[in-house]
Amino acid sequence: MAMQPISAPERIETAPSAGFMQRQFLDYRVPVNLNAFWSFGLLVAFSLAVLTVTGIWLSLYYVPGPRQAFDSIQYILRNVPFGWLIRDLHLDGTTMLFGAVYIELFRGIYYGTYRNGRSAVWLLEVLRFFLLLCTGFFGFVMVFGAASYASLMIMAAHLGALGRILLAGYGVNPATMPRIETLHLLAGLLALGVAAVGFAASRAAGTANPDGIPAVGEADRIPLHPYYTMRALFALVVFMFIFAIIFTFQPNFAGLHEAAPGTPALALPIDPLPPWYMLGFHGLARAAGSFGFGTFLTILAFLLLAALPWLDRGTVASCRYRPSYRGFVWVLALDWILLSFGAALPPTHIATIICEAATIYFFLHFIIITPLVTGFGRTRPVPPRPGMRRFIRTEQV
Amino acid sequence: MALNAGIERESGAAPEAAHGEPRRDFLKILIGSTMAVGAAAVAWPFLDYLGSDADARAQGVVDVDVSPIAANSGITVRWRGKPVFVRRLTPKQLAAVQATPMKDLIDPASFASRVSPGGESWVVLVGLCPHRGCIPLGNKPSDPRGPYDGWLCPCHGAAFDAVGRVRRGPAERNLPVPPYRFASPTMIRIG
Repeated sequence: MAMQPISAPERIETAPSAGFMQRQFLDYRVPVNLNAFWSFGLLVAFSLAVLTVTGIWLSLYYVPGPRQAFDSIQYILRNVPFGWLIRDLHLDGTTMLFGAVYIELFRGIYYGTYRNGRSAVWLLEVLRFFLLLCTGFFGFVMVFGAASYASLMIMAAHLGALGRILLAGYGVNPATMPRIETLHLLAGLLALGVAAVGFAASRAAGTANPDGIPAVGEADRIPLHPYYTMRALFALVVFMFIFAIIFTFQPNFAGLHEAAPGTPALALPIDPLPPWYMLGFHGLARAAGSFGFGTFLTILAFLLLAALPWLDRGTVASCRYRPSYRGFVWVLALDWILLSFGAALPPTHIATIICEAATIYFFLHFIIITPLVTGFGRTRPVPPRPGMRRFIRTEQV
Repeated sequence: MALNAGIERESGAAPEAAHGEPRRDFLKILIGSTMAVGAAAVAWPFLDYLGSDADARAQGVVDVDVSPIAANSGITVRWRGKPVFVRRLTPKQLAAVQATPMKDLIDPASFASRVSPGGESWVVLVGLCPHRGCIPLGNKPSDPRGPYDGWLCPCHGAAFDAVGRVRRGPAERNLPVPPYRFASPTMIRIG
């Protein structure tokens, strides 16, 4: 796509490898009508950077072993200078990352960013989400408190024969923790790679926008810098402020890791809850009732999310102009929150019913509601060009 | 700073440019210095983390009770991962090392520079041969002490006198004296 070069700071212009930076982060043209949701790319990138750096730092002291894992983290917290800070940044960084990732997924579903030739971008986004959840799970197990042990055992049961490969045997043994650590690093690095490829794919396909229509005209796009860089930096400041609040007041928000260390011989801990960002999947498994069916539902959930570009039968992409589907998208978001709450409840009859109802609605949304409502639901006139909502009435009605 | 440059260029041609420039310079310096302080504050814990942890720091200083050491015998203690010889000399050994002429020494060092003032009968040495790093023999009663009644390196035969000065090669330097002082008449603090 032809772009008119916009004057950037001379210092950056003359720096080596400035060409790439200038093309991708200064002169790159984005639609004129992006809203705050489009700042979340930077927030995800920032969270990934924090997690990568603190993860490398933590790996310098982490010892993978059934006993040593928990002890080495306690050692980091108590005996390594600023170890508590690095570790809490890593732990709370997951909350920030998944908060941003979930909002980005919601943005995609709400504004139909997977449309207009961006289905590959969406697939990469879902794949990144899956890999990040894998990374989060292995990280949660690496801590190896009592809840980690329970989660590992439950995951091994879900995976059936593969579970024995995960554990390197029938139960936790000296070979188990090194491979959990390797899988954590591997999934994390893969997620970084997929994020980078996704970024490139998004740039190749052209940035989506809240109106859900292609921004192809020269007047429909403005340079990223300074218009959206300033806005994204402001979003980053707000994001870091929230990060700081969680870090200082709720450092264990992403999981209580102070449980009894090591492997209780044949007993599970009282409350083996996964971190909040996995509770929805926990709820799916809970509603399923059996390990095999739980695995099936989880895989199906990811496949349906990835299949959204093909399940969506509408001519209009953005929920701004399809009011009937918009309501269902909000209900889906609330449904996922309800499922997470249901999964966090103590195992009562009510909790099971909540999980089952939310699970049924979740799959109903993707399999029935999305094709029907996007295909036959009411739509409003779409603006002629991005950001021209106010001209709809005069031009089309 | 860099982000303001585009705006600056636009206002550069304005008539009040002369009035506006110092203010913009001030803002640039303010933002730049704030960012530098912030970057340093972030980098500090990450760099400090890479340094020694509490266990490693605790190994830096070792207290040794020397009261059980009889004359003409020694002990080996661990200090910062290295062996440290602590030996109590007899008056005869003291007289011998004090009488050694400086011209006979390979690495000339006075007796006073090898011991701590007030505790001249105690010798404290890092027990690694300066030649190739072997641990010299001579601290156990059964060990050979070599021709100069000190230590004898089993690897290449370097011989040291009773205050750790090298008297026979291939070593060319004396056994190093670690930093230490008498915390009490019977306690030395190494490190």
